[in-house]
Amino acid sequence: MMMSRGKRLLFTALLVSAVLSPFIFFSAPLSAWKGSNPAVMMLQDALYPIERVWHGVTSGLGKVMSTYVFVTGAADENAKLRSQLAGVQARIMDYEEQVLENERLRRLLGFSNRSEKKLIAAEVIGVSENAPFQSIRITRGHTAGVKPGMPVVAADGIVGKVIRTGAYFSDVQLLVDSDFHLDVLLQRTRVRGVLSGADRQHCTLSLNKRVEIRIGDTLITSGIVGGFPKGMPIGRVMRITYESDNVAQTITVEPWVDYRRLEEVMVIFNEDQELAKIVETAGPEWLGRALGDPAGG
Amino acid sequence: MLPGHAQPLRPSQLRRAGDAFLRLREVMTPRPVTGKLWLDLVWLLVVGALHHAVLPTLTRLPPVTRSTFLIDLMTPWLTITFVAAPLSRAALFALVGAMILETHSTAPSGLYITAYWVVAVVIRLTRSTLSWRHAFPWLVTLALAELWVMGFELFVSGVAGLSDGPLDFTMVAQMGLRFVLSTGIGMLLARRLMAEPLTPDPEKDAVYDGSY
Repeated sequence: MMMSRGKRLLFTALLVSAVLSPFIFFSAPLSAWKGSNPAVMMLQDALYPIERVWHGVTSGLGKVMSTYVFVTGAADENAKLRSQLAGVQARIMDYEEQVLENERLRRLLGFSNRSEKKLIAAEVIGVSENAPFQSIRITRGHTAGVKPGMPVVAADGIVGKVIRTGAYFSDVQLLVDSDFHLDVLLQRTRVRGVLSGADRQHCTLSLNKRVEIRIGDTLITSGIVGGFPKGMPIGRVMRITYESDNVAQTITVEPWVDYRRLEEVMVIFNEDQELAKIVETAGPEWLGRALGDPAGG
Repeated sequence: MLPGHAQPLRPSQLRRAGDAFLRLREVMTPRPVTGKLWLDLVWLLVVGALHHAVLPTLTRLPPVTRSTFLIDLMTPWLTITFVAAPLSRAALFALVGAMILETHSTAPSGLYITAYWVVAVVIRLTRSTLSWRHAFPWLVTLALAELWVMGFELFVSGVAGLSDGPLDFTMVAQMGLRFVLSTGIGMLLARRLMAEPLTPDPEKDAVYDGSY
């Protein structure tokens, strides 16, 4: 069967486009959709109500089940928690004393006080399970003042940062996401490094082999870039691998936060100081372009 | 007839009510290609919501808090659309489906658009040579589409240097399960199209005109 000239042209054009499309994709920077462009977020804005209602229904059912059905062992757990609470209360009293002492010493040394950060609580309503692209969806969007780049934390430590905002929701790129990088400090030795997400549960840090490090060492934020306040807990060292080049060691870090159990998080309204300086110099359009938002938002 | 007295339904009214119910059932039956653009888009959005919100909670049943498996609804749904819908519509749905996936995760922008466009083009170029009345072409197409999308995801994350993590047993098992489930769901969705005597006409753009 002979194809007409038009059909042959269409056939060729489609074939060429299919062959070229992966090359075009790889020639662009491999980064996620960022920013708060309404045109990009239109579909997610439309899907959000369904997601919200479903989350409400399932979390409600879950609460009912855990409160009225799965109560086996509640008395034992209660006793255990009471004993833990007594220990924690004693530690809090000691901690408060230390905070006051720290403040006195800082004043004495002439350090400026740490500014109080504005926080906003949000509920986790969705998880993107597709490894290695890890993100969660929270219930606060740009109507609540959340902006891309804002740090997100939980009671146990760092969760990630906001990468996209819709009207009533935001997507948070998790610390374990393969495209997440954060400046960190080893709490014990004060050595700095850049932590990167590795797989769905861990992060990695590459350091010089001479740096002294032990299994179980804690990592904290350095507060230098990324908008995270200094000293926030990140995770602990769980594995050290020496590279064959005899120069570097790769440290595998287990985050304190269990992302699968996250229910509530806090967004820190903390503009990245470095970023703020760049935006002040280059103008707000620069940020929009850098975030891949043609509208400059 | 006094006001307030209900009049018994006549057979013609009953028939009309029955027809309306059948029409409603037809509209409410989930399927990738209905013949109506707005309805197809609505169903695609519903699939997106199921994919992101509903299925992850069902596959993470308490007290097991870690996700046990992934179900990819989008790929079989779009693959069937690519077979049955005209090219312009297939391209639109590929874009919408890919945007639903990409703007919900941290996957690199363009990953799914590229993956689905390649699937759409390959199907478009080969579909007139296959008989869609039989299960085997559907099975092969759905399986290859799912394999391609999973492979492309892996390639982008691994070879392009986005992931340092090794391919552990859990991940391989999860991918195997995702492949089987998604292909199975695709076969279920394609069942109605198989039942129809659809002879692909190479001169016609759409294999399926929307009337079941």
